[in-house]
Amino acid sequence: MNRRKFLQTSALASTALFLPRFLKGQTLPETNKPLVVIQLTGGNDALNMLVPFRDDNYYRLRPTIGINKSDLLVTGDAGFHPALSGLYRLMDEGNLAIINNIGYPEPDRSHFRAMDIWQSASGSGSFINTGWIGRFLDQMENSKSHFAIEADDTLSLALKGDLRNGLAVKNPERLFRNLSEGYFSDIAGSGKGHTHHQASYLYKTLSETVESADYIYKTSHIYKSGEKYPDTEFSKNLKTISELIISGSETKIYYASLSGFDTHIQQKPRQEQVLKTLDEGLAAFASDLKSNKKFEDVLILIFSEFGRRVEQNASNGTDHGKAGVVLLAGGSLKKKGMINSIPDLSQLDDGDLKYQTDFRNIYATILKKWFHANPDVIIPGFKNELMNFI
Amino acid sequence: MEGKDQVKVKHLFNRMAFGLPMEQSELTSYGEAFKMIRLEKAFSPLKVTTAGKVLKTELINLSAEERKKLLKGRHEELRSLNVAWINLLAGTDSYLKEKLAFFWHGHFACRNGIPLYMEDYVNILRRDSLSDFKTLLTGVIKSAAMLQFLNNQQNRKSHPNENFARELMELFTLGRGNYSEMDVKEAARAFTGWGFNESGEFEFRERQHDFGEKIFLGEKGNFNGDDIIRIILKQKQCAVFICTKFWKSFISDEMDSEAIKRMAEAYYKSGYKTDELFNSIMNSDWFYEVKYIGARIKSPIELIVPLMRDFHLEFTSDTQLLTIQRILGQILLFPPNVAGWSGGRNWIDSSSLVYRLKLARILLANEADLIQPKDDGDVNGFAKMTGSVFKQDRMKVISDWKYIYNKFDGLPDPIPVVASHVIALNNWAPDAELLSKYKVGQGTEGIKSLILHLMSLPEYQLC
Repeated sequence: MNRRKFLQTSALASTALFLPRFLKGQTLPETNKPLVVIQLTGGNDALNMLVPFRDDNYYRLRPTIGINKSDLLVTGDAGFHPALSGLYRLMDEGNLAIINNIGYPEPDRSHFRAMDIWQSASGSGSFINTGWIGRFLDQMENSKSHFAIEADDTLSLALKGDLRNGLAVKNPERLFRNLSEGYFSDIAGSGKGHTHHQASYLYKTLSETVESADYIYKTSHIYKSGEKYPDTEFSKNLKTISELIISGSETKIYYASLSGFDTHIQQKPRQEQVLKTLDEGLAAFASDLKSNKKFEDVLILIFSEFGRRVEQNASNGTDHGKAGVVLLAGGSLKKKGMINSIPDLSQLDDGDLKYQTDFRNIYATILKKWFHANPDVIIPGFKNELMNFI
Repeated sequence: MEGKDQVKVKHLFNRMAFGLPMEQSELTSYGEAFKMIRLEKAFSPLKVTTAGKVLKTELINLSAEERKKLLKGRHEELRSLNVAWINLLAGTDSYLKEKLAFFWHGHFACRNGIPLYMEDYVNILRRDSLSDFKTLLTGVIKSAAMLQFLNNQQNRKSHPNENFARELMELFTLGRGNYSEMDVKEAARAFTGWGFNESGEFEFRERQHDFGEKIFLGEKGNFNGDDIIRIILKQKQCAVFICTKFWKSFISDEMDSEAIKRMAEAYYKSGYKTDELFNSIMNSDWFYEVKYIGARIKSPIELIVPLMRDFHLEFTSDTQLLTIQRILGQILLFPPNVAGWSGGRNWIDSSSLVYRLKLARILLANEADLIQPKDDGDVNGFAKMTGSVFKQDRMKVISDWKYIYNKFDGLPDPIPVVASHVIALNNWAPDAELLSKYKVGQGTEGIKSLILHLMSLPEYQLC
């Protein structure tokens, strides 16, 4: 793989003693603009998230789980689910972009396969064991694990590269304590100059982990959020991410997941609950970033591994479908609101929403336009077509 | 300093079994070790599931409450099957045979929600792990679990479903690029009619079979599924593909295409006789070369099984054992997809490495482990299968150190002896500075802290 050099924050950022701009009044390294990926796990029902209320087919096919127009937060031809007031407000402010009919050819309906496909950015017939974010790390000069952070205990495929992996950390303090009881840093230190290639690989990984945990712990202490976040695991994770962003961490990509979207049964109450969790968390997150003048520097990508079938099933729910929706939020969107038209329910693909845009184009656009990286190297075997939301 | 035979014995068991059992550590004769590892007890199937026939109408005619109960029962049985198999691996003395069955599970990756089908599938792998490849392959792809997993039930003359034929060629025998799309289509036609009855027994349905002429990999004829297998095996590439997998799991994480080619030629020539191939590997000199010692990163099951065996671990709940597999990224009976587990360095990332380094202390010293596996978001999925995830911060596992103490306590210089038993690398000594800091206590306490320390080192991850 070609190693391609691209813009990197200055040497100052690489030291463990990184001090953010508001503490040092000197010439600044280029502002770090991170991406925050929010994965909605389980297959988010796009059709009830953004309801095409003018389309009679919607109410015909969803007699009991369809949402009444009077409950919706209307924006043009679509209405946001009532639980999404935060997203609705962002839309109003011009800080939200919606891309409908997102999918890929020959989609897979299995959670595992579909999520692997999205995380590895592969075609549906390929099995790649690295993720697009991991491969992005591979391309960076002097990249470190903490350049991509997942707010979780274990690392997703998305952040695994050939040469480098991102860092999974739910709680910087706990990770730091876990590793630096002294024991693991001592062990890591003792491995220098190991001649056995597998052993040295493991020691190197351990050293990097200790180093990254150290960096993240120190950085996370610079800013502690005063924003009120809801008391959910998801919001806690967003808070951790926000604190790292505002503290000036050199992390390029953050990754958080929210599950509960697999609404096969009794969709109405379940979807309301999970969308509420999503919306309230995002609202607090956006507010926190805005208060600290960071919202323009952040791009948020929200996706799910597939959408759901248009017609409701016999359990007042919906089954796995094909195309879904992607949301982008942040203060620097070039194109805002609905980027393309809402699904036409008279033009379905065997009862499913038809895909128009391949999700890999979204990744490619972000890699190229947000990070100035080369998407063709990072997303293999695909003709990337850049979009213009940024 | 380890004797030459001792080196061979250690390596032999590290690869062809789940490490040298502590109880066999006095074994220093290669000849005896070979005999021991090739021991094949009379085959006794794993029998954990109780549900017999699986009626097609079962789910449809049930009430929601009954359906829930049935699924819960199935999930419980799959959990039991997983735990039963791991316990078997920890307790068996048909070392090579059972290790190979575990390997084949990764190769013929399959998941199915019917416990009976999975049980049958596991027993096929175990019974024929050392049989010639054709016998094993035929048995596996005719199993209900695999036929259902790869959608061959939907493969009919009028409406062929290519998934089964495609995965057979791409992932089980030839690898991508060694057949055409046309070959997939024609093979799919040949497999029409392959199905199974309610008890999970193979059934050939004439009505659904396409008896017409097919052209497959350059040959023409009115092929059925067995013919397809026969023709696939005629391709030398099949031997190369399988030997590449053997290499990765038994020799080294690093490929050597010349050596693999030689292995494949021998395998092909013998008629795909797996047990002959493994005998020749074990009896060779090259297998024991320094570059192959410790050249593999242990898979999660290879990490867990020796600890269970040597310390007679008793988990106070199945959930704990399932949760550990989940955190480490390998759950028996639940491969991530039909491509199986990638293995090697793919097991390692920042959090999995730290968890692995702590595993011995978590299991043997009740150390706190605050990590939680991911929620996969699938309402019907894995989390349901494993029951709830173990959420407390300390595993409740009972370990037995008596045998270990008897063995090592009282030795004038236990450190190199213990190190040789625990660490796969040869002529390796633990860092003295670390030892002086972290090996504490005398007598049995000292042995315990020494072993736990060694098992916390990256070297312990290698085999």
